[in-house]
Amino acid sequence: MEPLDDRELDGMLREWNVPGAPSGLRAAVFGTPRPWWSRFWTLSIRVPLPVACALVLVLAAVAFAAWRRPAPAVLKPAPAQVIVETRTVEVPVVKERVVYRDRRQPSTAWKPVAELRPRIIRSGQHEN
Amino acid sequence: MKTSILFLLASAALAQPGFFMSGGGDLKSGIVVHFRTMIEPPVKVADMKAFAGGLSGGVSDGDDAVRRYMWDDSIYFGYDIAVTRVAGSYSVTFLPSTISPQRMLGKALTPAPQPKFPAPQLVQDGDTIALDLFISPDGKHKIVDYIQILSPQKAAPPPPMTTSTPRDFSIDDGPVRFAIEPKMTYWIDGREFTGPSGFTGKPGATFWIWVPGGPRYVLSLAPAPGFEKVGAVRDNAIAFSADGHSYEIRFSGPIAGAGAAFNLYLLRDTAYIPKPEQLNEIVSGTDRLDKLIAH
Repeated sequence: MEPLDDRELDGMLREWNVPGAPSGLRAAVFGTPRPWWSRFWTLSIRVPLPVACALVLVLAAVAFAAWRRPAPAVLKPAPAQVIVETRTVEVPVVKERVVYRDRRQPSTAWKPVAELRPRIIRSGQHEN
Repeated sequence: MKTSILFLLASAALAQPGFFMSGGGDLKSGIVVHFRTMIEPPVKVADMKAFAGGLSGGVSDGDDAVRRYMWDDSIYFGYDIAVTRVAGSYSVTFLPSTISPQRMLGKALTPAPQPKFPAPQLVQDGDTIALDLFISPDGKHKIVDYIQILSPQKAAPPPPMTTSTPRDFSIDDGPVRFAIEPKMTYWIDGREFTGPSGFTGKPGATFWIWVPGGPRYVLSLAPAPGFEKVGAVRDNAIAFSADGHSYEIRFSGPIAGAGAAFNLYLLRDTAYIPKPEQLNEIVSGTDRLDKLIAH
């Protein structure tokens, strides 16, 4: 068979029909398609090395600063101060007299009498 | 109705052995019922507070009866005493107490068991009724009310009699006393003041008085910076003139000795404000001069 010249070859190209790609070709090359949320966990991004180093340094500096920061101050109530005070009580009056007395004394146990028994002392005379 | 709180532990100059408190009330009729309360047998003045310091006492006078009461931190005990004139004498009737501790003392107290009351007593002007009120825990002492019944004439302090020229008081002239028992009276422009009045006695020889509408007058026997000479103390009376009025306060005993007259110096205390319930009455009292000036 004689070799074909260029013109003849061009005619053959125009007549050649490429067969369709096999149906399993895409799965064989790219794998089985997965939902986006499943692909999320295996995604990766490319970061230039200088940028990655800078990020690592910034994170290290932030962590160090957080470690060195003093704990927030806790307000503690002041210790209770005991004030011993002696108070003079003034009893309000409408007329005439006011008594001032020291209330530190405890209640006494004086007993009221069971019967009032008056004794008359005449004017100018002293009771015996 | 007027209320009086009895003096507890009067000044040493006034105190006598066993003296516990004193006070008084006057009825609408003008009859004065004067109380003097003693501890018998007497205890030393220095021991009085420890002995019976838990007890206080008061008097409240109404139109026809005087209410006498004593209380401690938990209970109160008392009686009412009604006095009527009967043919030149006085009939004294003791009645169950009608006081309201909550209203008069501002606290709830439990009434002590009511005692048995005696029949009415017939007394003369100036007579005294002795009445046992309390028995001490050991049964060895008692608290006794001495109740004197006085006509208005007998109770009223007399006018001063001394006419000598006043001079400055000195410590060599002796102690100063303001005897408000059984009665003290106020005179303004020659007329006796019969309205409500209050007296607050604190240790000190300086007298002060406030009359509605004016400043408080601080009156001293001793001259002091800012004071002006305005009057005199004679026998049992303080007399002075200020702001267009004349004032006289009569006590029931000599102030700086009988038959003596001393200059009186006055300071106006415009900062003084009486208690709200005293805005319509004459308010007076005694205190130390330095405390009054500091006020």
